[in-house]
Amino acid sequence: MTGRRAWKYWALGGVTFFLSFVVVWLPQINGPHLWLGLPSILWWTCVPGSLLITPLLWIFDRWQEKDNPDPDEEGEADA
Amino acid sequence: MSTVLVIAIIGIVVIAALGFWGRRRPATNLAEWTVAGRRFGVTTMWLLQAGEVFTTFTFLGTAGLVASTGAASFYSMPYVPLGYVVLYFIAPLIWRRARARGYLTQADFLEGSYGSRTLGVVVALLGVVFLLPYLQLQITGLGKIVQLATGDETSGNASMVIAFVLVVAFVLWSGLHGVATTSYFKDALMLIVLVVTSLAIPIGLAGGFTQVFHRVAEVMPRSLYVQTTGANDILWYVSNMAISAIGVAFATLPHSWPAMMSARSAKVLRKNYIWLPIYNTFVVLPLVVGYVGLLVLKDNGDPDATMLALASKALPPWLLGIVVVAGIATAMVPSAGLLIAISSLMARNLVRARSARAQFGVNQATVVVATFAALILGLVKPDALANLLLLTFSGLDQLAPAIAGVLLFRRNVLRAPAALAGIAVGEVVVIVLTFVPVNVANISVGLIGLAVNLVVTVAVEAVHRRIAPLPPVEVPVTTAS
Repeated sequence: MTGRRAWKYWALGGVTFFLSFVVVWLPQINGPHLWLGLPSILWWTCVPGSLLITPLLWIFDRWQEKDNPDPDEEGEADA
Repeated sequence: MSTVLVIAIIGIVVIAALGFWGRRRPATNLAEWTVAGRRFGVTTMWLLQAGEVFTTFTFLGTAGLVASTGAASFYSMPYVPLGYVVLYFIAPLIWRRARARGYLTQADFLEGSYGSRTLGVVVALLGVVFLLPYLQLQITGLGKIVQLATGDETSGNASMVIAFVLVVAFVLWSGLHGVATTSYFKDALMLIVLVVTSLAIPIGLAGGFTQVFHRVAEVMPRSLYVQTTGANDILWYVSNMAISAIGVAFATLPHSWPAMMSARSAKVLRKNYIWLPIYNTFVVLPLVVGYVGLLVLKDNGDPDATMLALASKALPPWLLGIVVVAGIATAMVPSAGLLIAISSLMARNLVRARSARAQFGVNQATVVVATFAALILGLVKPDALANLLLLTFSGLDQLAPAIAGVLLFRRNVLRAPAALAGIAVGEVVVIVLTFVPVNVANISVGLIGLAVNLVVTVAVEAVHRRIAPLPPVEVPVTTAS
């Protein structure tokens, strides 16, 4: 992603990567603790590294349709 | 014959029948067979690409990884969705270029983009060499699933033979269409089985879903977090997550390309990557089952047996049979995708038959030869390719700079000599660090290879520009399509 509007993609996408790679170094999160019955590091792996990717890409998609409307789209349904 | 074996054989036949159902008449040309005429919409694409996520590794390996590495195994969940964040942007670029120029394989794409037949041959060779052991892993994985569930080695071997003779038949007939129709069945069954096992096993054997972790916290609290020391420490976790995410992000595995290029539009690909992470999150379920294994299976000599050992304790035979069918599907369906990648690389980029008809013939012959070679090795010498398998992911990750060089910039910033030099040095580093005992502080050897690869790529390109400052020229692939 390059160009004038690229910063917002980098900023939002960067949060997910930052959380996925950095929280494991924090003993408050990566320790023998349980959060809601599950290991706390499992939450931090599962939520920013997997579940939040769908809303993140959904936002990217809205921005893409506004910033770079695709002239040669052929639809989404199966042929 | 046991209930489990009867259900397993019925499952194998049903999967193969669905594979044949993918096409009314057999495909007659490589483009139709490999990328299904580039006509797949969101639903089929979603299932095809989701099918690549859940393999025998997910089914047997994920629960086993918890047993052998504890919380460090959690790296196996986020790397695929993190890779999708990048693929969301670059997969449409790959699709547009592939459609415009008739590319069918990863090697076609790199050969055409760099204008180098040598690069095409090297990439195809690496693809075939590294995917063959992965195919054998799926075959032996299937045999192991049946053997573990029935307790009978002969049943496991017989299932391998029956399943893969049928895989060859439906792949020859249907190509990617067959992978798509079997994926519908496989993914639906996988979801049901994952939910059933992840509820029944913790409730039946450990007192409940969250109770599992309360008990682990009491008796083995170190299993709940990634350690700061030891073989599977934080550096191991972070570097393995990084190299695996890079592999997904830049589509370094050749068998992910046919599915990507079969989309009917770039929009289909983008929509697909938005929703795939939801499905990927289900990987958390076998991770939970792995923790039950830590509590229940004392002295677990074979971590890969964890899922089925627990399922056989918690489930009635008929339900265990359904679990086994889901496991069989995770071997048969990805194997069909692997065969399509291996055979098309061989026909398009290695043998390079002149006519389209001869090319299709080479392709179909490769499907048969590759499967039987892997099947015979799986039966006679299951560990023969084990060393090569260690290199599959790290080795193929070395293609990332060459792929990124084409897709991340507005014009080609690299030329073939730089890409080839980087790949060659990266492979050497990975091979040496994998087989020679060197202390690399638990950092993934693939990541180290990639760092050296990048330095060499940039250095060779810099020297090349001093000698010949010509802009890179793109030449279309010259083989028949």
